[in-house]
Amino acid sequence: MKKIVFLGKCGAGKSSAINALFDLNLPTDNTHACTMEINKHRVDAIKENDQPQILPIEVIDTPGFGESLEVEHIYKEMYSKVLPVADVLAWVTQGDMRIFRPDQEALLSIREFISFPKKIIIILNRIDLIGPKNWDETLNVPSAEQRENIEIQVGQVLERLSKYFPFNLTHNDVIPFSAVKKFNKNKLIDTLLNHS
Amino acid sequence: MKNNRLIESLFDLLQGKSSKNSVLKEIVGEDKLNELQRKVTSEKDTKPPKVAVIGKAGVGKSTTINNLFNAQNVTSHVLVGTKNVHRKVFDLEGGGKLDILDFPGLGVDLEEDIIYEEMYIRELPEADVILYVIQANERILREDQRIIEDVVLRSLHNVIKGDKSNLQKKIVIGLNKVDEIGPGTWDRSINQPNDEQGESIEKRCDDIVEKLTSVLPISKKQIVYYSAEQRFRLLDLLNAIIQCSGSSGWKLATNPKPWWELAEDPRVAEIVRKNSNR
Repeated sequence: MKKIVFLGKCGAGKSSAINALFDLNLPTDNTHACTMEINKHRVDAIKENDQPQILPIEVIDTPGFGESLEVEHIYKEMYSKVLPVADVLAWVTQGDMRIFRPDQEALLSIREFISFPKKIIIILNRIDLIGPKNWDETLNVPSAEQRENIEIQVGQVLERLSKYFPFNLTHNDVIPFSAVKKFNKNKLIDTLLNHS
Repeated sequence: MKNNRLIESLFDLLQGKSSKNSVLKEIVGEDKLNELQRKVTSEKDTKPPKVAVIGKAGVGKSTTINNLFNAQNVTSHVLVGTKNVHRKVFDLEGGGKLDILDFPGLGVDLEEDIIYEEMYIRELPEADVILYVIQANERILREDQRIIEDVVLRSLHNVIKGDKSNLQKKIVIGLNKVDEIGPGTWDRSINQPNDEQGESIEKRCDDIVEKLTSVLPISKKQIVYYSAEQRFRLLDLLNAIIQCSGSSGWKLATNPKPWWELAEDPRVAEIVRKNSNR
């Protein structure tokens, strides 16, 4: 059974992304961190390409880093346990933020374990909130201006984070996503489940 | 304009156009009076309060400056807007000037931060006021704690001299983007936060006091919440900056400081005060 571990900064929306992708109901809250420990969930993922396929997988939700300096070592220990058993690492970043330093610092701190997963995907979450925030509600897609900025942001993610991963990432490894709008859900599921 | 009259009357006084001048000279001494005159002249011409606008990237530093002063600096949704310290002197309505330094935002990239932090450490000690901008719709303050501790406190250790309250006096915390704070939505009809957002803003302020105080003691009064984009409470922010500029802002219309405070010798200040028309 494929194991996918979700990692990312506190508030990047890991639990929201998991909920949107696998129709779960993990607690989320916009003022407090909810995930305090590692949670594993068995789900049946539905691949919706040519022939719909049901695949049992294990989704591993982790507490977000960057909340405070004091608890960082606890998180690092948790990550050191889940990364060696994971097949896929889904790194969740916030599409509407310019700050990459916390991600870089976290990646540096887990560099001994980061080469275990055979596959790494960066989820660029919250792209509905990317400037100028004029999401096309009728088609449920980013506006033309947002599409342009998403392109720039994908480039930024690759430029700022790629060097901290064990192998080179390309544009195909960064998936723009919105948990709230369920935008790019199928594409993301396919990317996560495809052969690694 | 009141200030200009004050300055004019000082010049009159010092240049002997006033009958009180001889009395002053007698009591204070010519040297000290000349020194005070030189100071007033140079302050008037060259030294508006310097305001450093700092914080993480993307919190809206440049938008704040643009909308405070109707300027047209470059802002960006996704890229870092400011790569250097941009400096510009702005005239205030009703008199006075502010010297605004727009700093590059921190936290984008470990390697770039090294360069930017050098700029902070070089330029920050010159500032009379530090406007530290935080965005209301983000609750994690770890990066801000780090910036204050590693960059601000480090660059200002000569100003602080072991007493953090020396720095506290210079800092205004600007809580930007309160229109985007959740839960709740912005009331567009009256350009105000709705009740829910009002509560969230209160909570954010309390949380900021608690978290930042672990690195630098601040009080809730130092936090000015606003929205640059909605032009909400920008005047409150401007007022807080001017109040904070203290004696360096002595000639500003909103906060006129008596010019005799420029005299270093308190006795001179006292005599000039007594003999002025005020």
